[in-house]
Amino acid sequence: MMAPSRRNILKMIGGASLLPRVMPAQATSAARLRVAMQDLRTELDPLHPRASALSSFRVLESVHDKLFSIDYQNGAKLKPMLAEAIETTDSVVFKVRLRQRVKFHNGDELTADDVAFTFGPERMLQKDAPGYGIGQVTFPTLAEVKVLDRYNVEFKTKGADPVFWMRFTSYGGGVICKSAYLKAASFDQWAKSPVGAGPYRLVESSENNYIKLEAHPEYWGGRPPLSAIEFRMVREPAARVAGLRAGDFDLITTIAPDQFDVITADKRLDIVGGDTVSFRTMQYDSLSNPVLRDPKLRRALNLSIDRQGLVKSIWHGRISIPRSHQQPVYGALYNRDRPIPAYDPARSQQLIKEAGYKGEKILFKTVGDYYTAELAETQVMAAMWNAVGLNVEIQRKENWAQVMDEKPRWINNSSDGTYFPDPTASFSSRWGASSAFQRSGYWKNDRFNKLEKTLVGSLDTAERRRAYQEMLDIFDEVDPPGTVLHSLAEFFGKRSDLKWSPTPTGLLDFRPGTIAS
Amino acid sequence: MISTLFRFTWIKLLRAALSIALMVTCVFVLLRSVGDPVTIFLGPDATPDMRIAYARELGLDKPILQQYLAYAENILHGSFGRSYIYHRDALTVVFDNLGATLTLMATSLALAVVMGLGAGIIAAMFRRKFVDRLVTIVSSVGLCVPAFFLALVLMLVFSIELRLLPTNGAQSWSSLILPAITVAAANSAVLARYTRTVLAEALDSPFMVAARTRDIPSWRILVHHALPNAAIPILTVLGLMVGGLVTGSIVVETVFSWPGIGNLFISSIGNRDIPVVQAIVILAGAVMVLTNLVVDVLYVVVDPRARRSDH
Repeated sequence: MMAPSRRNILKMIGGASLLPRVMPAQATSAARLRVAMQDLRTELDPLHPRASALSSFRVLESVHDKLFSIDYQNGAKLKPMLAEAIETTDSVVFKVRLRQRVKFHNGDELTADDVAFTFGPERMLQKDAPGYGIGQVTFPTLAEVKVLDRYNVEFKTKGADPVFWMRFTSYGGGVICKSAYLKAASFDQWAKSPVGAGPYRLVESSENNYIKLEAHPEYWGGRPPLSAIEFRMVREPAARVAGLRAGDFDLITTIAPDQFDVITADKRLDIVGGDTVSFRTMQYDSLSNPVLRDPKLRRALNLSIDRQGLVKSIWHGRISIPRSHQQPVYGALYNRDRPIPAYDPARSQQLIKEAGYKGEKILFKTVGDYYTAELAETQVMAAMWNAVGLNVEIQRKENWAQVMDEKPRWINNSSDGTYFPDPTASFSSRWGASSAFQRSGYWKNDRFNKLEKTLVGSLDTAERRRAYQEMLDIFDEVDPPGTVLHSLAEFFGKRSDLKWSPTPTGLLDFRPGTIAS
Repeated sequence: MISTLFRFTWIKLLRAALSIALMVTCVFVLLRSVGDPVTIFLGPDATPDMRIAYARELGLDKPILQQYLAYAENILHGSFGRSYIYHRDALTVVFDNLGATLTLMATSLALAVVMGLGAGIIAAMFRRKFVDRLVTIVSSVGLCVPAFFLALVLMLVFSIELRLLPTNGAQSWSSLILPAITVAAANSAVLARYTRTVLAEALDSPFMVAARTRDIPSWRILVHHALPNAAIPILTVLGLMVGGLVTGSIVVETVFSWPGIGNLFISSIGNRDIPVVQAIVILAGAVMVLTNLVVDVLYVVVDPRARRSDH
């Protein structure tokens, strides 16, 4: 990853954008792919509030291309997509040069006008714009966007943003066709039949039923390897597995560990996936809940979780435990010497004593089925806590409002989605000063929030690293607001003759070079 | 007779209207008592600003009484509100999914009637014999096996092993077979048991002995004398069944990904799309109430004794 220097011209052109694409054999050409998903939403504009779910990101990946993507196979470097280069002299004004002769699904050519409209006030930047909510999650620093000429656009941020270019690779970053958007009667109607520049275009969709795509014949990146993709909604996990075994589907999403054996018993099928760069976490309410107020007790909670045992028993050892809230793809910010969260029941018991804990009841609220294997993990953790003398009791809740709105809040499961390789993608946004977590009054740490300003605003990588690592110390040891359990795992069942694997962010990429059989 | 029927129908209609009004209120109260719809809808990662904006957009920031009055007024005007998810009238969303459910209902009901009545009649005719016991055992199994389990067994046999029928969707007539059999299984078991019991009772009645002594053919005794006498309990069960079919296929629609109201119901509960959930519950309840009303009226037509009753 190229760090911005002072008088700099940040050039991410890469030779990659000029070289012909190297692609593996595509024996699946003209093949149709049938994918069963646990959820399916027919709103396919990347900024539609209904499209901000993992299941939607998986479909959007085929419909929309972004300005850049991340090449996780090549050191998590920025890879040109609809744009060829991004330059900045101050990390406030960014000039983006677009790829030429890119065609939208309706045949229109992509120009700077489309890009400025995609990220502009009418669709995203203004408070009353339909895409404002999601836009603020991914592009919180963006202040202005303007057309320079037919193939050049200028973005201006509110202050220095050291990772602004990475934000284009995250969700919400898909570029749409302005003229098609303006023809739609409403944002909702547009979202049902969007026009993007991705490798596949929408044929038809039926809510709660299916979404059918076909190859975009004028795709800038070459002929898509599949002639068509059909996403079908099959909510029931057992029914998805049955459909895969019956040959009704080629690929199924979100496989639970207890289904691994059923799938692998059939030689025609296999399982892919595993670790993603996201985190499966837990969070504690230490502000409104006096029992959890003492950091010693929260440290004790963290120290008494046998994460390796959890991964081995529930996940068949197929996922890993990150070294705190960091991933190797964070590059210079990653500290490979930081240990994985410790399991030390003796130290935990000592801290419980020091915290003056008298056996008060601690509730662990869970909806039970939001995350894969959530209930099993919850039960195992409660047993581990009970074993060190913490009186933890599981409370099964029907929905998130019952978990989060009933005070005092206690312990609950959570996850931190990471969609670009920097801690700002999930660490600061999830636990920082402006996160829903802090703003809803779960936890506050002034030092952590001060360091966060450096992490999100400093252009000096060494300074960012120092701030980030100290934030992790606070997160792990000093004043834990929660903890990392393990990486957020995503497993997929598929036909074994299909050569394909998900992206490290857990998404489905069917662009040229990604799938073969 | 006409004035009695008219008075009877009028009283039943009033009761039906009262039942529906009560149901409308209960649905409103219950759906809001399980948690804040905005939090449920937006999930754990929504910022407070997003929650406030969303509550305002959906009118959920107003006092609860005001929300109830607006809701009741809308229903009187035939509107169940705007779906939070689909951004259009909730009733239209429900009607869009109604076709698939009606297809499944009609097919499974026809299957249940044919299998249930047939098995019940045969069991009654050969009562206390082997065939009767066989029907009793099979219908008991049909009643006890949960639809979810039966669905997976059928999938295992006909889709995975034999690869004859699809596991999901509604793309062709073959997609209908497994869900229809699954829904019909329990209903045909109920019908078979009811038919067997009431028909056996009718066939053992003294007037049957009289009919037999007059040398009336067996089929004529069955069709013209026994079945009409057994019709009322069977009609009652059928009425309940039709009302229950709208929601009774929820599990089956989910397992087979059948794009009907049951599937919509589950996803709307998951998404806490209250207007759609309200519309489905109220419509299903209304169908139940109205079906019972029709059955009550049919009683009067079928059974002369009911005409003399004040109820």
